[in-house]
Amino acid sequence: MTGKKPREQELVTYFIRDGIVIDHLLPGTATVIADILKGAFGEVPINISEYIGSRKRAGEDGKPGRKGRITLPVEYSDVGECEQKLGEYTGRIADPELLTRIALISPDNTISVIKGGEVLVEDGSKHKLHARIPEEVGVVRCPNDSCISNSEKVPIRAVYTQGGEHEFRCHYCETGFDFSDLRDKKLLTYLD
Amino acid sequence: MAFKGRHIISTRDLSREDYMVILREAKRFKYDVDSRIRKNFHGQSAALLFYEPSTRTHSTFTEAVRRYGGRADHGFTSSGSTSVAKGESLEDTIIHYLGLGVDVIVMRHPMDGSARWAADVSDQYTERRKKKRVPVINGGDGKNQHPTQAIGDIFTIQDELSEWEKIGELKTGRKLDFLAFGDIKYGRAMKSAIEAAHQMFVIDNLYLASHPHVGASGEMIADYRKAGMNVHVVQKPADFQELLNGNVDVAYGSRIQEERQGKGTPDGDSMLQRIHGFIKLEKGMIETPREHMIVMHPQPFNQHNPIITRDVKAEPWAAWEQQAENHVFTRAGVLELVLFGDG
Repeated sequence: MTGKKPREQELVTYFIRDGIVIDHLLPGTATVIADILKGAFGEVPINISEYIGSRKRAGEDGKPGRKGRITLPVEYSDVGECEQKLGEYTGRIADPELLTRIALISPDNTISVIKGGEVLVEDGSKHKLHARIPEEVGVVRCPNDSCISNSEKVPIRAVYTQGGEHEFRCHYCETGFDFSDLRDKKLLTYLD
Repeated sequence: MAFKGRHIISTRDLSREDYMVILREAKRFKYDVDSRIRKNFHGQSAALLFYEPSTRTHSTFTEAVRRYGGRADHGFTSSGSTSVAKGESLEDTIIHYLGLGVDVIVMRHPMDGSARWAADVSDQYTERRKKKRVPVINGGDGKNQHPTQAIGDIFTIQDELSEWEKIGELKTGRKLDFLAFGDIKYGRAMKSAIEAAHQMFVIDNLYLASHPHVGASGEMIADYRKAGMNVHVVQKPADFQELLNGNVDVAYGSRIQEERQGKGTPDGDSMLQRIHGFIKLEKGMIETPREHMIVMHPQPFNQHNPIITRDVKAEPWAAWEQQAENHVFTRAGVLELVLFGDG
């Protein structure tokens, strides 16, 4: 569209005017993350794009890499409802446990709130989030079936070691496990 | 980290300096006459919560508390006669004993990580109720950790192979050559002893002698190598005998854990027949040991299929009786430190 800067042009191609955009996801993870979002948002429109070309992930040969993207457009009948729903979406996506789950599946991610086709600006800065893995994670179960956390009502505590022998370690039984185990052994707990 | 109120859950939480402090305290209990007659634990109460059978750990902790003036009246030696049989959680059981006002909890439980959870429960309770910290001492949690066993074992190595003026250094002046034999795969006490011995004395060569079915996993071997040990897997009885004759400072046996091999099932019994006796220390095998070499075993021995035959217990290198005696002193030392600190 004429008169718009290149970045804004890119935003228009998200095909949403108001809602949430989760971008720069590791290729192949958008579908898994969308499944988790269903638990948080319920039956709302969710658009999933996998293996989109990504300049950010360009290889050494200069060819674009691939990424995933999810958009959650807000459906509304009037401006007031739009504001209200956008506020609800913004609140839900900021839930720490939800952000942790997103980060565990794709440590690479950028989460933007879109209003009127542009990234929402609040207090002078763009409303963007980056889901990060906290030092201690409460949303993965221990892979050790003999761990007390798998037999009694014990709060899950997995330490994110950030460079240790394994990427995670159970606080209780000290069993180490990695990102690949989250997927292979289905250790990520889902929202109830 | 200060000792007063500290939970003793895992050897991973203990630094070399921590071990030195504990060993000095334990030595005082063993050799200092004044310590032996002083009632260090007068007015203190310990709860011993043993969900699994135990002869040595339970009795040595009980003796350590009582010998030095404390009370060890609370607890149980089997969960069958308690509310646990009615489905009570570990959390609720711990809270019950905290409510009685005990000063320390010692526990053994079949689930890995249970002691750490009990420690968390204790901390939450004492904070919530504005009471002084009640330390939890892990007497064995599943196949995970048994830190006071390891402490007792390195005390024995220190007492037999080193001088008290130079804690952590062998009389030989060399690093430690350590032979682990028997059930390498499931031997919890052996695993803790290796970690603690490496921290205190630095293991140069670690020999792992076993039937292949109960050998060390690839991950265990990788971990030991990463820690700096030269690891050698030994799966021939002749090589095992050769090591015992002049090549190691400590040989540490571990009972074959029949319960983990499916004893009583046709496949399990068949496998056990192959494992038992494959690596076994018998009379006459050791003729030229290194000076000061000791053979250790955490006990109990399987009387029907011992990894060390009973007819060698009078040999000068047989150290498991000293190990058992030393556990009273090391556990008393740990109790002293977590109750009163090291100031």
